[in-house]
Amino acid sequence: MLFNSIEYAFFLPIVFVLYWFVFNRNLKCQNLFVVAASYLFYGWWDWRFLVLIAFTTLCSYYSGLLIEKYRSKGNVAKRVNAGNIIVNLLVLGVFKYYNFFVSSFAAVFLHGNTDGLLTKIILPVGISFYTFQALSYSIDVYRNKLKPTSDIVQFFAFVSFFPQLVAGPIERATNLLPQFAKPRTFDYRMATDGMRQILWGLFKKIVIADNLALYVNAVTSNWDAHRGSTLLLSAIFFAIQLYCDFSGYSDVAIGTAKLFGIRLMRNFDVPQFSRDVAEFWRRWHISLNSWFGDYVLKPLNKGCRSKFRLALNILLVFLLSGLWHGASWTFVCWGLFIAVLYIPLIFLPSRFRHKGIVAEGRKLPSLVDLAQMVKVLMYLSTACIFFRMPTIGSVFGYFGGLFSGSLFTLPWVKAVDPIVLVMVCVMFFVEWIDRFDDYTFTLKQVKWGWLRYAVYMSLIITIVVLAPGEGDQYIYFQF
Amino acid sequence: MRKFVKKTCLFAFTVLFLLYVMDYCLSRHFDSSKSTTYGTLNEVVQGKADADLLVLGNSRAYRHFSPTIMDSVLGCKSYVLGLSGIAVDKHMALYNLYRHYYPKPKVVVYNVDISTIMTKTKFFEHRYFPYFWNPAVRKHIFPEEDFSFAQKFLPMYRYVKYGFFESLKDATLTVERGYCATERPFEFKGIQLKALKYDKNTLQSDRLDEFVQELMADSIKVVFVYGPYYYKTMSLVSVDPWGREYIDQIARKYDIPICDFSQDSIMLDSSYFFNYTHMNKLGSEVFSRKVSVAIDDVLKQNRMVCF
Repeated sequence: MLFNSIEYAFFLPIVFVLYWFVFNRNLKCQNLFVVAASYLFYGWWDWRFLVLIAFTTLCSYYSGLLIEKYRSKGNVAKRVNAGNIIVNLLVLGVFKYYNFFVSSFAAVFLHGNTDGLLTKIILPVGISFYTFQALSYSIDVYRNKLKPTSDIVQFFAFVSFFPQLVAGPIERATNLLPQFAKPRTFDYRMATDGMRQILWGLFKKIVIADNLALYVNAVTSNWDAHRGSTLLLSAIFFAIQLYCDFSGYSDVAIGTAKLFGIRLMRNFDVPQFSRDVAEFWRRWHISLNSWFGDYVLKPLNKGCRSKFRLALNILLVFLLSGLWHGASWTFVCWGLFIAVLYIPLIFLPSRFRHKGIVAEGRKLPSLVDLAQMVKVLMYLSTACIFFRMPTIGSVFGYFGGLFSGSLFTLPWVKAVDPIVLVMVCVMFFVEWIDRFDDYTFTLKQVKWGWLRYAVYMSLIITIVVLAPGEGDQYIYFQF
Repeated sequence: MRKFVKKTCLFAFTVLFLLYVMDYCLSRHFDSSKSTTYGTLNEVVQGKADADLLVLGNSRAYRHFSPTIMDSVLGCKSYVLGLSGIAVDKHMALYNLYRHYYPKPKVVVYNVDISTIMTKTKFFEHRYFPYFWNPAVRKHIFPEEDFSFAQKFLPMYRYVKYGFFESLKDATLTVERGYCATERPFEFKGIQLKALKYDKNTLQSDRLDEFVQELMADSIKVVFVYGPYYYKTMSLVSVDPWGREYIDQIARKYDIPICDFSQDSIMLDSSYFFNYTHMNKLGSEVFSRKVSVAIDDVLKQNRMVCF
């Protein structure tokens, strides 16, 4: 079920009413209902893969219990944890990476002959997200950061909680699990915040991402026929599309969770206003980047003082992050490209790194800030080419076309709807105003209630009027 | 909690009301349209399509049959009830819609070809959007068009799904009594050739039988007409003899006269066509004269004179 589908528009209020009015007397019942609703949400897409989520959940659940049981026998706990990691990664490997590794192997050793080797398994939606979420639990239990839960319903609710099941944020058990362990009370302010966030997320997805996708798809499907300037414009549009698509999804997910009295972690912290690549990666897909930071980079860096070793570890993490995004060499190259941009920052003195948010205490950015933000947007747009193009050959072809003499000509703008560009500016403006807040589109500057309702209404009408017909699926579903 | 639910419901109802108003206004916006997209249905629902002789078919009907010429030759009042890309299922639905508003015609001239029995397809579904408020259209067109629940009952949803601005765009060519005189020179369009390739296994052949039965039961005289294609397309059309054979079988079964213009000399002259499958104004006028004379003869021969 997609957040921007009509089914979801019926599903959400029904689940909300049942959750607060029917199943609210008993915590276990309420959690069980969350599980049932989440499985229905996921099964709407393909019910067969529910078995896979249940398997992943059970593995991590029992691993947690066993780790705790054998904690005193250090090696057994370690083996259980390792076993759980291997099993989960194996499931992920089979469903997501089997064909990629086999075809890569065949390309090197079998002259590209993959006869009888490839499978026709379809990629289960969100497998990378829930696998990582389940893994974080057993690792945290092993690290003694968390007591394992003996309530299997709670744990199932934690792994399968529908707002964040298919595209994150990848929650940590330390944050989400305790919320399922205690009774939730309805918080009016939290719920209205959630509604606002849902509306803003839908605006970003439907009005901006889906409309920009029309231009981007038209250019990238026929990239060799376009001028460099058009390719550049398309890359910038794709970067904005990707941001609005994914952060829009996260906004709806976090907003939906708030309606159920659950606080999910922030996944995007206005990354478009970052002044360097490091700051950008701290603000972009926070749940995944912090996951890699906590569970891969930190163990690798343990006891390491050499900056070269750190650079090497970061390179490895970005390569893995690339691979996490997709079973394709373009994603691996994307990881490499990002690492190449990131690593030089390690060798810079810390005063050149940006920690806080841009233009603190000011309404507008300075010219230097602005130039730095544009630079980061350009980096991101370039990196996005790896993300968007299907093969390495087409990536290089795209770069070839981009950095050609035609870069300095006028781009093809006939297919760009000026209203959509205005909406992009509105999005940047609203997110700029709310850059210090927990989420964007707080409307805290609007004092009059009627005016806030007028804004909501206009946003809904804008969504209705500017929705470009059959919208695209969320980009991150494929991961 | 109550406050939240109350406010949310109130807001949702306001939004729904607003969307209903938008939907209604947008639908009414097309009422006066004479375009090929909305013109025919507008004429039908606005009572401007009364006729003794009804021409049924798809785009080849509304582009090829000039009611003015037919009226002058046959001495009757004719109307062309044709829409692009429709097959027998929607011919039936449209005919039933027509009957909802008008008394039965005396003669139905059915422009047939292989596409008459082609697979159910959803072409140009947006042309029905403005009529969702019309109970007759809902009754007759909806079941055939297979709109989703949300498209039928949620305001603006169908426009949004198609694209609001896309919905607002209207065709430039207009229809008059269902006929569209297309003043365009011949232009090659590969897509027209592609459109003629049908899958034999998915045709809705039984529906034609059912429809003809319905017309016969209504004591309506039916005449089948095979119109011309530009001769270069004929090779493609003639590779589908089973389609033609099936239609001929129906004609024999119900004793329906056929006016066959598929081999008429019109097909050799590209100046009569604007693409491989459709005649332009010049071609349609020549064809309308010829076909009217042929229909007149057929009706007289079969003692079916009724005007």
